[in-house]
Amino acid sequence: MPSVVVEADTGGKTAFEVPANKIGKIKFLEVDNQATSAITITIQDVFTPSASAGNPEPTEVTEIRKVITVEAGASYTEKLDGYIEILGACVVVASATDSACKVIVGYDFE
Amino acid sequence: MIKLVPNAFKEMLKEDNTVKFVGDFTDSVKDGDTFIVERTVQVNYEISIILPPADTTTIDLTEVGLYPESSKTLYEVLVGLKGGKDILIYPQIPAGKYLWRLEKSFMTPNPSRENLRYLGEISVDDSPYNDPKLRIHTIKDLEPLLFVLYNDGSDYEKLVMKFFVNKCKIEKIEGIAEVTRKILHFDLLRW
Repeated sequence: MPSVVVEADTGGKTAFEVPANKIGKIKFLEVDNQATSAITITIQDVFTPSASAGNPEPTEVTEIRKVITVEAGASYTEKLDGYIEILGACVVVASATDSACKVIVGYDFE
Repeated sequence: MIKLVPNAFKEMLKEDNTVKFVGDFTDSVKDGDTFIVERTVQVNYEISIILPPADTTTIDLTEVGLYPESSKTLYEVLVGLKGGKDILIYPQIPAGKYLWRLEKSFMTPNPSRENLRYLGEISVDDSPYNDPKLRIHTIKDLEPLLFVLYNDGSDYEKLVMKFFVNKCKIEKIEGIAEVTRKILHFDLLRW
């Protein structure tokens, strides 16, 4: 199972992109926050829907899939077993930019 | 021309099989016309759809290239589905006419009405990605087959459709008593 490490960044870091013919599944999430303050991590799914009856000219959509706040000096681990689906790009957005806070995302494509 | 078949993979057309068209399909393929399959080649093709909840979209199989250009080609297409567990698919041919309905006049699929939403539809469980059961036959100039998709879930959903295209080169023959497969015109499936 692939995994990727990204540093906390308020501008967002892309953890992985899902191929058009696959569905992304987050298998686990780890946050190691060695920064000096608590940081909130938001897992976003960024994609462009298909044209539909309700929206014939769709634009990019950002859906929030998970929000976690990790205290300074603490770590967080959650086994998700794929119940969080990612349709487009998995983007990790943090409430502060700090290289001392690292987010590990384990994922798979189905 | 469109059917759910339990062993669709095993029953794919092969060289020297014969197919008989039942009903007038096009100006050049009429009721009773029989063809032999001279050659086959298998081509996979995938598309995906991301659909908001309670919304619909339509896929025209002619527009996604699943109808042949040559009058001597038959496409046997198996459709495998992945993801989109709440997406319902309603075949229409021609546009606006649902293929699978019951005899009472009101028993026609209608995704916008809850009591008719689950009539004449298929979903991923009916034709899985790696074990497709939905089989379609297309020929040049046949009226377009449409898939109307409705997202019956509460979130955006992504449906991946894998088309296993068995591209068959066919030649018309006469006087064959036994045929491998009869292909029924869509009007014969909607009595």
